[in-house]
Amino acid sequence: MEMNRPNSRSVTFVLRKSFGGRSLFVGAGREHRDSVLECGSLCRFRARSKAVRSTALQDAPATAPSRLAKHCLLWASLLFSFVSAHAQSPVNEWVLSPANIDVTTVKDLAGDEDGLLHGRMATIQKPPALYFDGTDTYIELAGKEEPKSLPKNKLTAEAWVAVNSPAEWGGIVGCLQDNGSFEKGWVLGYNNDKFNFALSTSGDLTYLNASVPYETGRWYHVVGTFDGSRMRLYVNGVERGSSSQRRGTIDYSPATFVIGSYLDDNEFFPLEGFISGVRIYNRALTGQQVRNRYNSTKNSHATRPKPPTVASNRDLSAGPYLTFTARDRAVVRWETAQPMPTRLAYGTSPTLGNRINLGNKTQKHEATIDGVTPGATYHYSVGVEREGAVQWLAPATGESDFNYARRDISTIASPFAEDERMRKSRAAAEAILAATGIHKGYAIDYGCGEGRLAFALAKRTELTVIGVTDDAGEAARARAALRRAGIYGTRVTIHHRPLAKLGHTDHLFNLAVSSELLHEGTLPGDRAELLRVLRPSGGVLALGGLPQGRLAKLIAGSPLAAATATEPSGDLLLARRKSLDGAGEWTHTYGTAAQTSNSGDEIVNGRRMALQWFGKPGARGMIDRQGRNPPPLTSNGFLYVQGDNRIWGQDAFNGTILWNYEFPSELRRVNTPRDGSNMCADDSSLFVAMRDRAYRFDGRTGGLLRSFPVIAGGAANWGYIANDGDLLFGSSIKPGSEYTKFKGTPYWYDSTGTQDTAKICSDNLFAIDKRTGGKKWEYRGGKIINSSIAIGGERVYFVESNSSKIQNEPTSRIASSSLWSSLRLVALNQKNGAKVWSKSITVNNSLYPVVFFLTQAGDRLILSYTTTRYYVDAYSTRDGRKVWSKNHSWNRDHHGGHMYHPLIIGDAVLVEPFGYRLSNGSVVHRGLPQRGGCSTMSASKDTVHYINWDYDKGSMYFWDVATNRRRLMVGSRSSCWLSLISGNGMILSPTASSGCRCRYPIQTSIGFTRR
Amino acid sequence: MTLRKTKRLLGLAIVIAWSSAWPSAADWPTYRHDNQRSAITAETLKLPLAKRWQMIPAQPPSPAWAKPAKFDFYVSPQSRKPLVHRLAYDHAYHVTAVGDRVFYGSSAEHTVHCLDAYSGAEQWVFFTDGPVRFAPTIDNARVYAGSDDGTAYCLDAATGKLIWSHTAASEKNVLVPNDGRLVSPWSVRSSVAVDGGTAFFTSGFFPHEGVYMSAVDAVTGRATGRHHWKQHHLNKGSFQGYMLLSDSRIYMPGGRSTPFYFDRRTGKRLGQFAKGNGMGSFALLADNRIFHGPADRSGGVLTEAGLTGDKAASHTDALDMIVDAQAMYLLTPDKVTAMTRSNRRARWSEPVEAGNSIALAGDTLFVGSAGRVRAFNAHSGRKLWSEAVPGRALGLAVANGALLVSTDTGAIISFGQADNQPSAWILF
Repeated sequence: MEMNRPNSRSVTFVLRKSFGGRSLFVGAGREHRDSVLECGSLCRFRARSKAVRSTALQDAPATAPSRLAKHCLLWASLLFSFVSAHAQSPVNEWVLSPANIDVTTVKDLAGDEDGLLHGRMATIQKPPALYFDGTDTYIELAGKEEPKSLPKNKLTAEAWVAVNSPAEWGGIVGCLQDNGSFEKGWVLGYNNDKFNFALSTSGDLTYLNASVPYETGRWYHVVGTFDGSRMRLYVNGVERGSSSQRRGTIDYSPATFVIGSYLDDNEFFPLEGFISGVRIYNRALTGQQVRNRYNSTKNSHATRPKPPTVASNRDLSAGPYLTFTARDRAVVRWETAQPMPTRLAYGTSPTLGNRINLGNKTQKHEATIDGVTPGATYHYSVGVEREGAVQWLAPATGESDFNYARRDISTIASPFAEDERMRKSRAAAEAILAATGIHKGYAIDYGCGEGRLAFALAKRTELTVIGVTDDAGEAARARAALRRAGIYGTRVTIHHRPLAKLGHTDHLFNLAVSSELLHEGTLPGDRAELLRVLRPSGGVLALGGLPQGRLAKLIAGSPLAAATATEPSGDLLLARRKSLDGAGEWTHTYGTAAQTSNSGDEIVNGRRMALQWFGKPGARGMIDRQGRNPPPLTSNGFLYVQGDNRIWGQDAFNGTILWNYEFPSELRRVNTPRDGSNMCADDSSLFVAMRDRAYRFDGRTGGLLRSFPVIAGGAANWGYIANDGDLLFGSSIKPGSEYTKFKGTPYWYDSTGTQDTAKICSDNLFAIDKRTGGKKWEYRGGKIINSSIAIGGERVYFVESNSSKIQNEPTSRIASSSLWSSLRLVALNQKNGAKVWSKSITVNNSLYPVVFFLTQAGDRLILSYTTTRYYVDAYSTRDGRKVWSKNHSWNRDHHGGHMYHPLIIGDAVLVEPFGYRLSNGSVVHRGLPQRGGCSTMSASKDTVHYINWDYDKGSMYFWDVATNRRRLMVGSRSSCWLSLISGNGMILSPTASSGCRCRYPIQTSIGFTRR
Repeated sequence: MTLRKTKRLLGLAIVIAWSSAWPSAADWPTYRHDNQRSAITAETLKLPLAKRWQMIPAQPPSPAWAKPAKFDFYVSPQSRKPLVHRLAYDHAYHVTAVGDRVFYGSSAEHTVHCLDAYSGAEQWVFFTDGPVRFAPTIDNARVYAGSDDGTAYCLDAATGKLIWSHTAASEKNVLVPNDGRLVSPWSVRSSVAVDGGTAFFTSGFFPHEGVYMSAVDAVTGRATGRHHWKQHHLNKGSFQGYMLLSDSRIYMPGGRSTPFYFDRRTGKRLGQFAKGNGMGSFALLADNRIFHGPADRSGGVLTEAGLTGDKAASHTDALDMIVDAQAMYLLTPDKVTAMTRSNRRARWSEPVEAGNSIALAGDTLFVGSAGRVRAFNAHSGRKLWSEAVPGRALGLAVANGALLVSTDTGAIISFGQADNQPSAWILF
């Protein structure tokens, strides 16, 4: 017999009955709900049947009931069953099996709270369950501000869970706020090794802990009930706690309803373990009902679950990553080791409603998303086929707020008559662009006439073209024409001013041309002025309109001659500006591979730095200011900035965003002082470590040049990264060891506890040939402390721990104090990895060091670390002999006062507040200017730049060490570690204060130049 | 009587008749009508209104600043309340209107424009060397506008010819790259406020580069008078937003920060409004109160404070406000509310989806929102009129028989009375 109420999802019943000792089955719901509800309904029905037989039917023959009685019994039974089953139906039920999870959507089988899976879908069988990785996997059932249908008076929360990693604050399912004295909602969870159930009725939460501990990695049936006057906690069908402290209705406030995490406004503690199913009832199940539920499902939860081995981004040999190629177009790229068809699921919501099937068997995959909407976030997941089924890899996102493609103006009509001048201008523009390949940045038309060449250049590129003329009539005609074309001001601007006094900042233009030379045969203005505004490190002056010999004479004898390298290209003469003499670079976390925190830039002068450019990327794409994020890098006129799972490649001289990529969450690293950056650069490219490989991107175009798999014995992530000459250096760490969390006050990594200070240590160290990708050498020894790797003088130095107690640690984030025993300072030959020397060293390990850094400068290795003081030990690079040792008190044990990366300037090492002479440790600076906030200092050759934290104004200091004069720069602030770098003759300060609601006035990226 | 005289008399008669039929004809000579940025005019419009013209520019506004960070993840990791854009002063081409002319500045084309008020036809355009982000001010037949090139300009309102220009940082002014355009570190981002024959403006917003505040002769552009001055502030603040004037003081929004106030006669800095309250480039003066924001550390809010900085109230989620002697009108993202000023008790409230701007013309409250502009009876809240516009209506001006709406697409739409279009200009 079947009864259906199709209009209600929660009361659709399937009843099957038979009498006479045969089976009776009452179930409810769709799909598998029949079996889930079976026990409770069946038991209740049987008990009631006995009562009916003993009373109402006692006069009737037991063996031959009348037809009427049979019918009465049948209908009474059915009615009761219906009511009973309905009363026991959960209001929500999530069975975390693959059948109920569509990439990111977790179906509610009883109610309307379909959940959104954050992180990735990794499921197991027997029983079907979802693995929560303890990092970013959780199910958001309803957002904080979204309406919810949560029980108000009575409640049962039921789950099958296996906790792999106990935590002080653990959540299985709940909807709560526990912020100081503001305590609302409820949560079924765990507190270290005890399950618990917390609930609020009138302003605060009562946490009810189980009386017995649980074992990690085992399945448990955990139920919390509240009947309006008593809370009960059941573990495996047995009541393990009870409290009458809470009475009345459940007290809610806006909060996220979530499975698999303890989550409120300022806490996010995701579960590491498994959940097979969760049910919510708007009534309190009785102890018997809970036991029945446990007994009916325990057999399927008998074995210990193991983390699943599923397809992951490791199955890809590159990517995925997303970039925007036009105003309305995004492209996702990835590569596979073997040719195969793949697919992409994507959408503007995490439900990924759209599919792109790439049916061709290939290794390089590219899916184009058309119709990109401004301001939208695009969610995507790559699908790969495995054993005949599609497995979706970890979802990632790309945000079109970071689409910098300019409006396509290639088809706009010319505002100029199609005459010989126009034809000549167009041909020249095409030749110039073909010869130089410059399509982004700024161009100047020096002597621009009426703007024809400027128009032709702009139409074919994304350049901002500035035309300059000293003729007012020409300027007016050019402006009028370009306004008619609809591009004036944004793509072409005409400046009417003397050509010898442009009024533009130095080093601005990527490309310089001259219409007047092209059409009139004379290069107007002043060569020195033209050179002044030409971008160093590759800015091109493209001369045309005269024979090569005469073009060469325009440069010969002028300031252009010495500062540029010239080459003919067809009818053009290209003069490419060289790098600035004395310009430094910041290519590694701390400036150099030797970790000196000094760019060596000789041009930077703290007293004379002035605004060179400002603008994007702004705060929107960055990781919040507190996470101690990887520093930006600069080299050869390029600036590389890492945001929240995105990287921008910029022109360091004018801030133009040359390219940018949106990466999966695997890119993110924070807490740099306890690890290191995942980026380094050379003259022409950027290296990025993500997941199990490193990528090399072209600095100018962002094109992927090559990817390098990590060298490791088993599954590993790429840890440390550096480069020098032809070699790329790397190390392997265990997957998941990196610090990645930044949301919430626990994640500014400022405490002295090992939850913040545990060091990332590598299992090996290796070198790869940049050009071929071939392995050059690999070193294996102890656990190599990443923050101690320093490369310089043809050697690789580091500190390793050979303690046997930590060699089998399951993570590379080593919090054990054993790390600090059996330490050795090691020197390897950079070219072949051969050990040059190895010395046993000791450090003060009375407390786990807050930071631990090694720096190479000349013939010294400076080991700097903190426990309750700063310790500075100097070793000889020749043999590892300790030369001198100092220690001094730290300023404070918070706000970065206990964390400072040593800085080499001149013949001294600065460790706040002292400067010690490298050779003998004598004090050469005392009372170093005190930095504020949480950042560390950085330097150019003679200038130290650092943040003087002022919450309201935001400010930086440029300190000239030689004169001991400081210049205050009020307006903005740097990050909580290192975002103020120098190079190319500049000080660069990409936006690093994201999320801060402080009142400092400037929140933008800034480049300072010497003026 | 000659035919010419007859025509003139006829014209005069029609003008007189037009004037009496027209409830009142008032200009809107500066942003939000006056130097207190009240957005209140005595001009009244007879509803319903009909679209007179619509100006769709070749290029939309080119805002100075990108969007802010989405959230403060560090302090509120699960918050869904986005951070408020504190520097959204140039997301539309805000207009001013005097007589038969409408004026606006273009952040995209670096220009100042004059349109015919009745046809929308362009009368003249003046080129500067940087984006013009603030609405021009009109005073005594002169147009005053500041540019991101670091210069304040005075133009003839009839012809657009340059009368004078003043570059406060003239000795060191330089153009630097900023997101695909060149601007001066000493950009004029205060508008030019004119009062009593003096033009006031600021130059610069990077405290470390130094910022200037100037008071110059409005006729000559020179700082020659007794109360003319130029003050230089190094590392002491940043100025962005429409400047406000009282009889004795200058109130200057501090960009992302809180407003500063200065002695109007000397330019001497007197103080800055309280930390953490009402940060952003919005501000208006009403008698003895300043309302500023639109953000504080908890999200969107307009702070109401006394003129010496004592905070009086916080208006949560407020995007725009109008304050007159009796009432306060508060626009939040989903409704507009009228309150009695003395006790802040709500008089009426009407839902407005995605509201952006308000203006009070007589008894009519105009509300701009996403894709629509509406009129309400200011006393009762009764809906009077509504019309679609292209884009988010971020700016409203009411002048000389017209409602002028500026949207984020760059469009400027003029609505006039549907049944009584003035026609005197046609006769002349």
